[in-house]
Amino acid sequence: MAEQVPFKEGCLTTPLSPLEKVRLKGVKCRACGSLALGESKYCINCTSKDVEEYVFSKYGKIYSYTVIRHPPPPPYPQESFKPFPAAWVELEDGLYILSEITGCSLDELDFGMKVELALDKGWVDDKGNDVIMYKFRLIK
Amino acid sequence: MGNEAVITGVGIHKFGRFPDKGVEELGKYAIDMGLADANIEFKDVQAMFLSNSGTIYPGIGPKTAFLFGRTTIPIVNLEAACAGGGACLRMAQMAIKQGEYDIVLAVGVEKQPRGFLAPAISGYEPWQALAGLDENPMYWAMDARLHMAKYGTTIEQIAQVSVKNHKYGALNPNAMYQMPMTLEQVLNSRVVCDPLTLYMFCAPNDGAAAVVLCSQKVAKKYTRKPVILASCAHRMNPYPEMGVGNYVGYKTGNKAVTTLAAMEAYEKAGIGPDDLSLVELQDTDASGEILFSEELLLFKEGEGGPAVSEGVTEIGGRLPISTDGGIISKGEPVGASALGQIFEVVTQLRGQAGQRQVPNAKVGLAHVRGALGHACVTILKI
Repeated sequence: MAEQVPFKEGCLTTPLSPLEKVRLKGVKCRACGSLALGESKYCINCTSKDVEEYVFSKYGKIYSYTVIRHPPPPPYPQESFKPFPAAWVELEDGLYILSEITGCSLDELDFGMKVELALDKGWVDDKGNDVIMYKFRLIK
Repeated sequence: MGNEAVITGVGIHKFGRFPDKGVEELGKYAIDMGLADANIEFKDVQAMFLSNSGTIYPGIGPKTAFLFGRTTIPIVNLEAACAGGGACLRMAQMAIKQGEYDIVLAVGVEKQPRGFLAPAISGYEPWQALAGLDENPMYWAMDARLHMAKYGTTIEQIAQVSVKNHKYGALNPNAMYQMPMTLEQVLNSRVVCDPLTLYMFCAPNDGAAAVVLCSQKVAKKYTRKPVILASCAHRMNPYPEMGVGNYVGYKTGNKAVTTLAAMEAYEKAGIGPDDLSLVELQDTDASGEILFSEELLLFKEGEGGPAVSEGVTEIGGRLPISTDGGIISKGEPVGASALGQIFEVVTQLRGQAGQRQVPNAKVGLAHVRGALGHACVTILKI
């Protein structure tokens, strides 16, 4: 049976099942307060080593948005491409994360709209594992 | 001040698509033109820096130089994304200021296929590419939308940048697209990433440019009218880099890298935005020209849009921008584009820009901004 692996090591809480309980994680700097996604021993903003693990809220809002209307370059599968909305999501904690937005039509997004984390199988890696990828879903 | 670097020669190979020419051949063409302009022979060059996107092959600098015959001078390849040519110019400047060399070449060469850049060039990780979150225009589209919402910048003002740059591109024999375009054509072209349309973007392509730098004392032997390299700054963007290649950020209050590099360049040159006669900047897309015109402190925040619609940035306006058509018209040969800007500024400061000539041009600024956070700002004067 295929294993589940994260889209990138250190960016999701474990275990990866059940998916509803998984959150994005990263670090918060005790020196400057900055948040960043993923494990790190250093603050990406001020280089302090005084960082702590931080689990992000699953809720956020649209900071800015667009629609990807042209297939992204390979290795993105060209034949199955359909235009999709993408946005900078501002999480409740203040982290900005770039994401595909689901649960809405192409022309539905606006500034400040509320979204929630939606983790799902994104693609299959070269070892046959299911890769768990984040998206955000519009809350209606 | 004998070690100050000045520009005595510039050369360019037209930007475009040249499937039958090797990248080294493009470079040699630009170097030949630059050396002829400087009245210097290749054997007199003491060091060479060559900028490229890093995607062709590692030995590209020496291979280009060896077209002039085997040489023993140091040759270094440089990569700094779309800012590569600026970083290259800065290395050449430092080699002269440090006092060891009097004649140094800065060269940029590139060959890029049609369409979006390959994900690795812009620093994307494989998972970003597989998720489809690696389309460079999406970042610019979202930046544009924020600017429109915050300051009332209009899509017509953004399209007008493209109209202006195509107008000047039509007058530039070195541009890939030498055709004027109407506001309607730009607005009605295919949407790539809302709200930006196809004709608002630059296209990656092939090209080369070369700049001959001399120490001030040696330059006197070759020319009576060198262009002074007043300053050249290269910086990386602080956190957050919410641009090409990236996927995460946090509101830190840090200044944008373009502003940091500009402030450094203004200070080193003792020149401010009000002293400038013309500006070349990173018009990867038309909205970028407006945003960068503000980040370069040419206009106050939110005034970049009106500056376009009021004609301030046209030739004949107070501060002409992208007088060679910008990369919207020239196309963007990544490693060479910055030195292509230097070619234009030098041409303008010498009064040789023909129909595109900015009256009484004395001081010019060139700016490039690349993936991963690179930015270079160069100030030239006569």
